Amino acid sequence: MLTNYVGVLFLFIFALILPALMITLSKIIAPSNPSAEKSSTYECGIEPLGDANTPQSMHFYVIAILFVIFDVETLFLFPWAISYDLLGIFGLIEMIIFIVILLVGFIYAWKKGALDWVS
Amino acid sequence: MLAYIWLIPLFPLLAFLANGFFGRKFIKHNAHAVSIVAILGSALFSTVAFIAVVRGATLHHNVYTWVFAGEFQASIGFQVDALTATMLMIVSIVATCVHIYSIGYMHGDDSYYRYFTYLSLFCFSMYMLVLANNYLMLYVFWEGVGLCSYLLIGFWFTNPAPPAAGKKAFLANRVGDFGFGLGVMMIFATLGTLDYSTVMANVPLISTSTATLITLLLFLGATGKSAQIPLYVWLPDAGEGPTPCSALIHAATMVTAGLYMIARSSALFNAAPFTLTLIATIGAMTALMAASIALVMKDIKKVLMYSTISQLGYMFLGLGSGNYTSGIFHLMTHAFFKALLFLGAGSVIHGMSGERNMFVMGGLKKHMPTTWWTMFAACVAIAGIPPFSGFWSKDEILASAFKSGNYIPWAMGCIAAFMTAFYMFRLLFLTFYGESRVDEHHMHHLHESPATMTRPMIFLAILALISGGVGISWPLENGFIHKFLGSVLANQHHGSLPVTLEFGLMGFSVLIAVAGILVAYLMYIKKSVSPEKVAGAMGPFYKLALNKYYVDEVYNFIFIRGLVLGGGKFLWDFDAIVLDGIVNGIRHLTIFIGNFSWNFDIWIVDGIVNGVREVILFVSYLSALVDGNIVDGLVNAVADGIGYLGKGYRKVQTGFVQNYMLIMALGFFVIIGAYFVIL
Amino acid sequence: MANLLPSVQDILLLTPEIIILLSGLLILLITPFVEPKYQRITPSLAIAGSLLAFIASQSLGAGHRVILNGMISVSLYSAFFQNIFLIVNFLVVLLSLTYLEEEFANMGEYYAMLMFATLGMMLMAASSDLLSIFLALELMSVSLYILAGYFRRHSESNEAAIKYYLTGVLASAFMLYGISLIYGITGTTNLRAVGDFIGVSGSLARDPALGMAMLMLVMGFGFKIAAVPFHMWLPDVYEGSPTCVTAFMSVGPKAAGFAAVLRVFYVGLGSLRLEWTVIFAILSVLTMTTGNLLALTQKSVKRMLAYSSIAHAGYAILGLTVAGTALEGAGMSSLLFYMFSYLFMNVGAFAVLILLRKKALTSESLDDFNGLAQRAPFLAFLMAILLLSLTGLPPTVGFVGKFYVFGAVIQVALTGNGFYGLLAVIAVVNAAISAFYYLRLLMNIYLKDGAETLTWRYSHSLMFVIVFSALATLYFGIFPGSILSLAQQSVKILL
Repeated sequence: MLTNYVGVLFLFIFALILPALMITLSKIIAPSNPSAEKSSTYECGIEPLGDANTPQSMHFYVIAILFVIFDVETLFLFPWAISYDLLGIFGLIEMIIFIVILLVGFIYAWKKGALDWVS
Repeated sequence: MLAYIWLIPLFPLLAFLANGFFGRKFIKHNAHAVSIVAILGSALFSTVAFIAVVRGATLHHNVYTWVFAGEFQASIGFQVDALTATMLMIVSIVATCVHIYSIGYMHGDDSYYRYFTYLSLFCFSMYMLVLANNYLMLYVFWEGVGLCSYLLIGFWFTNPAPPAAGKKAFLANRVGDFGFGLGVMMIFATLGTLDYSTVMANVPLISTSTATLITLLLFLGATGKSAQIPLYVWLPDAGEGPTPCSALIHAATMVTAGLYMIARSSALFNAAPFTLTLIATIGAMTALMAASIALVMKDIKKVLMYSTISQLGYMFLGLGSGNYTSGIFHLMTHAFFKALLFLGAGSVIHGMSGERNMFVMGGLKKHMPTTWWTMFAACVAIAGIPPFSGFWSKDEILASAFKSGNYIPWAMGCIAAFMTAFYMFRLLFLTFYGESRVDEHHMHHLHESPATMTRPMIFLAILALISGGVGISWPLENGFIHKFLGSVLANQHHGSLPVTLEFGLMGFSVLIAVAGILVAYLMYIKKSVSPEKVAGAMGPFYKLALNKYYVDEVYNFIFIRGLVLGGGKFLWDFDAIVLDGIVNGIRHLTIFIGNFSWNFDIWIVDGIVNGVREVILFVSYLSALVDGNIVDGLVNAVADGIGYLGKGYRKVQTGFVQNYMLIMALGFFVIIGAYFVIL
Repeated sequence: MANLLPSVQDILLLTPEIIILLSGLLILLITPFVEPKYQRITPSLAIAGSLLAFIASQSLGAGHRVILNGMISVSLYSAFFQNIFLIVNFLVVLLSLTYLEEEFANMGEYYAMLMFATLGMMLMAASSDLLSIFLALELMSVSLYILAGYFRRHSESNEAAIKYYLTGVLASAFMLYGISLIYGITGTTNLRAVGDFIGVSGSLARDPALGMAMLMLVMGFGFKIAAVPFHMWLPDVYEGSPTCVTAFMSVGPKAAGFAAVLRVFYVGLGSLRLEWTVIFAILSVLTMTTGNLLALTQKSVKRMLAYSSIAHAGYAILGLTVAGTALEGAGMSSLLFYMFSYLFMNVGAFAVLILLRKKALTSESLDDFNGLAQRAPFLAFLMAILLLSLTGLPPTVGFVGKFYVFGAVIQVALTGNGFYGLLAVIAVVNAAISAFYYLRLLMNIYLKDGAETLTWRYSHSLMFVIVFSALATLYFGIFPGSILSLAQQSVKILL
């Protein structure tokens, strides 16, 4: 049985060797004359001002996550709408349950002030 | 007919609950009343049951089935037969005496109620142990009496020594119980039942090898509980507990549980001749070794503790010779005279305000007359002077060892008998005779103990003198106890010896005993032989015995060296908590092992330590060679892996989540690798 | 198409799960609307929910129904585990009450998450399809990640949550990979169908891809049940989480993991049993030995209990190894009973830790328990029962559980399988090692003197949990018969 996977093994070995080979070759072949200017982040751009890691408002994340949740909800609604006539009353009930559960979360988030941009 | 049998353990249980729950707040210094009423009730019913059994009644009754699964049924049930009845009587008599004695001895102790609580719990467990009708229940209460023993050894836990002794007892017993538990499991696995009668009936179905394995495991349990080589080390230290409880637990009852268990399984042990021979050998070795240590001890309780170990060795010799009755017979006589000796020692210690060194006593005879004569009675009984109890039982054990062909154990037993007579009378002479070596301070307080203490001693003294009567008969070994126990114990019969030889042996053992007493007399009363000179002449043997054969130290040694080799720091911590005297151990060890140990250290231990270091260095060197960001982490992990063998396992728990994930992944790849290699 | 639709009877079989779901949702819904002083309404709802679900679960009957297109199988087996989860849920809600109030963290979200985690565990025990198992597992895990980090102002708690989450995701990824491989090979995720497929094509059993899939599932579940070497997260997470969450985590998810493992490996991968019994046997030896040896070195009681829970998982895995032999029934029922026995003693021990503590997440060291018996004899007595049970001494339920698991292993050994004999010996040695650290704590409680270093946080609900656990430990230790036969009945549906 294991012989069936010899191809996978070769692919695996090849995948290991190829990038190693490429990196090594470029290291050997390419000329390397680093200078202070070349090593800087933006060799031909503007020097960055300040730290890029500035704190973001927590609300940004909360709203982003809420957006994703309701986005996914819509994603579920499309196929459901297409096959509505096949699923019938059961599909309707099932989707209502799904939406109600999300609604509970939505009410919770709203009441907790997750949607107020300024608090 | 014996339907009331459950009342016997019930009384102490109720007393335990009452004292346990209400002792501290309400009962306080009346705790003894509760416990004594309970033990008297138990003793009464035990006597009634004993008489019923003598008349031929037996009981085998399952009270409640503790169902496990399908075929396996463990039950709570009682079995009463001759062996149980005998044990019931021994426990009841000694326990009653000890209870009453404790009123005086423990008077004024802060934890008076706690003492009686434990005592009642012990009695309950002990009764249940002997009343059980299956191995599982035996195991449960085997642990139960063990628990009480640890509690009572560590009773005065504010001093450092008692808890340490308790821990030691716990450890030694754990090793034994491990074997015992495995043995019980093996019985079940082989026969599918744990019920005594069914097991015994099915013994023929077991192959000799299985029977040998089972009995060896059971015997390992017995060596722990009944203090035999190699697990006896806990018993000498057990003297740290209150003296009356030493009399009850560590002389008369609990330590005999191992013997009881073997006698109970006599049919099973008969199927394993190898185990029996081993039991006889271990018994004789223990008897001799412990007796030789007892020769040189200065602490009065230590002498008695080693004496107990030695006497238990005799009993095992009896069992191992296939004469189970003789073992139980000696168990009974020993219970009486050794309990008495402990109570007497307690009385002396009580009078001497806690002093235990016999060399600062002397001449107590006139101050403590009752203690003196009761202890004298016990001494003649244990030394084996006819017609007192110890003579009959000990002689029978030696005779059966001889008959069953165990000549070397027999010879060892004879030597031990000489030593027994010597050290008992040495104790007696040093304590009660000669010039008083008591200092002013103690002299002032010296007094005879109160009646609550002396009365139980008098009662036991009478028993110690006459209880051998149950085994006297003509022809020999046909007395009451032989007929009584013979019905339940599967004794092996090795035929009888010529009458002249029988009497010759008997005369020989009397001679030995008298010789022992005579030597003690010459050394400590007449002082015509100097003990120091004898000690000097014995040279290394004296030193060995004085240091208890360095057994504690050797055990410590094995433990510590195991640590160095294993390299785990954690065991070291653990060690510091559990074993006492490590520092002493190392010191004695150096003397004892001498150059050998030194060389061993340099060549082997250092070699291994250096080797491990070299390997680690080598791996680190390799890891320095193989550079690179990804490989580096891997090599570090491997180096860590080796490092933790040396430094302690827990170093792996770095707290870095990336390491955790790496280990998870590594674990996965190791499993994958192994899986496909094997596939 | 019609067979897609479940009947009302089928839905009714899920009553306990629905009750838990609804109570969780209700708690979440009303939480923002409840005044802080009426905050106790949410735990009351949680208690009511778990009790109702418990009653509903008793009335389901002993039938075995596969519903929702083979996703869920409702049977005695699922009911057995559901009862464990509901009891844990009930006890943990009671434990949490005062603990959280004192830490000013008594909020509805906590109870809602507890309910959702319980729901996930219940579904996990009832799932008979790899997909539903995975979904249920994630529902449980996500709720637990949040619970672990519930004390968000404590850095330890945050650390616990992050560690749990990161390692958990790794394990989930492996598991999902394994599931997808199995789907690729067999074309189905239904466990019975997977089992039948592999069983029919005999040569498939030695297919490397299937072996790979199996090992990935071993790793995924090994993480949940904290088998060494997938246990690394456990000590830190247990120590950093709020103690009540630790109590919950140490029992619930573990039992749920075992419920799923048993189904997946026994039903789905039954043809590979020769392979996985060996793997689990090795894991079990590693797990109990590591857990016990590390527990020995701990100074903090909470951490000691964490390591000891690893060791207990090791004993339970022993039952799993027996499930792959001819004595499958004994192995599986012993595992079920072990989980049941573990529930009371562990929750009880953590309850004592909550009752007696310093501050929220400060570790109580062994020495803090010195002389407890003099200050609080009754509590010390209860703790003694629980510790004896954890050690596995009679007459407690811990003894019965251990005895039953070890007994199953020994029975296999006696059929001539020396490998299992070795396992049994290692297990017994481990049980002996574990006695050292449990009884050391007991010695500290009874035999040492110590000053009061812990603060008493007495409350009726907490005391109720401790007394209840200790009594249950004793009761089921003396009368284990009913639960044992229930466990035996339960595993019949897998056979």
